[in-house]
Amino acid sequence: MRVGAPRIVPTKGIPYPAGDPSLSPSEERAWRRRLVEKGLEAVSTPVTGPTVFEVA
Amino acid sequence: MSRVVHYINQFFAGIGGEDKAGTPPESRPGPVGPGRRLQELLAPDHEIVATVLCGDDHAASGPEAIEEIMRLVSEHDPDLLVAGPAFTSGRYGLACARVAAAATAAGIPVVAAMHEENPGLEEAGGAPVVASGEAARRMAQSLDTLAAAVRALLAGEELTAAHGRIGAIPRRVRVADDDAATRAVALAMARLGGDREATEVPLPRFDKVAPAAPVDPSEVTVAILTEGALVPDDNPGHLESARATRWLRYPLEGLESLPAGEWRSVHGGFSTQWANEDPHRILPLDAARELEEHGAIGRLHAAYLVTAGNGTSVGNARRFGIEWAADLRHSEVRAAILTST
Repeated sequence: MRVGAPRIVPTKGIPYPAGDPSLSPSEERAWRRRLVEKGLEAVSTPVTGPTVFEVA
Repeated sequence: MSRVVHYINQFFAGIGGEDKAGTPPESRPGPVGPGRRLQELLAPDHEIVATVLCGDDHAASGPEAIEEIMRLVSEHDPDLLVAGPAFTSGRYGLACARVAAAATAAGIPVVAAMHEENPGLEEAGGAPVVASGEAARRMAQSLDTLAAAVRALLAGEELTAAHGRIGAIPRRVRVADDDAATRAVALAMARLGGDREATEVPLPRFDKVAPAAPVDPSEVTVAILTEGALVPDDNPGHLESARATRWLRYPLEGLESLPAGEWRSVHGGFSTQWANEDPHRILPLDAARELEEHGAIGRLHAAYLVTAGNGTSVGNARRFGIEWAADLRHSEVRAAILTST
């Protein structure tokens, strides 16, 4: 939020923004897909300022 | 009579808009576009002998473009080079700022004009830049300011804030009025007195980015980008692990996944153990391909852009942003997902 990016999807950790090594390989793959889907939802949503899109 | 050369972009030269942004540098005799009004303001003492123009994408592409532009400028043996006004246009501002820096380095007096929030401003270094309005509807007063600055420079004056000067001022040795301890106590007292801004070391100002309008990703080309420094295993582009000065573009065409061992992260700011075990943890190509197959992504861009976001200077980061936006727009990408470490 502080750096001002308009659309932000929070993830699990700095060393793996598109993954989560604590999950099993198939669970991790599903998590990654949900992250990218949330990113696509974000770019298709109008925003007026920094907005967080949490993966449910 | 002083000889002035004017630098402008393809748009203000009347060549065209985005479709002509790749136009290489060329030189034309006399004033062109906004240079005509500038010439009226400078007459009869000074003459715009030539206009050098270049497309925004080409000019922002790298140092070679600025060298080409400066070769054309030098052919006219100018007493002064003037660039812009670039208003808030990023690539145009970047080009004007770099041209100004190159002219200063070559000993050619120069002044550029742009809005103080133009992301290219920092690239001028200590070369003189004066403020313009935020858009071309402010052309008239922007040219008034610019013409006054040209006159002042050609009269041997130094540009100051009174001339509308913005951006960095070259470093000078200056002795403070008081010693450090006295100033520190004065600052602490000012803070305690409620002044939240008092400082001797201003922090870099972050830009406010206007959010892009939404798009339907199933209808357009979508790119995946990263500042997680994921590169082919032998790092052929020599991406730095910290304080990156460059970014790179690598093809994804025909790739369904990023096998461990063929790709690695050279980021120096975190343990890359997990990235190297599975490169998709940095760049989600597998998931993006799946979504492309299912139609949620119209088309996945045939390349990804990468840098190392680790202690990167605000100036370089701003430049990467302008260059990435230009590169993606040129490839007709309409949306991007950037993974951030």
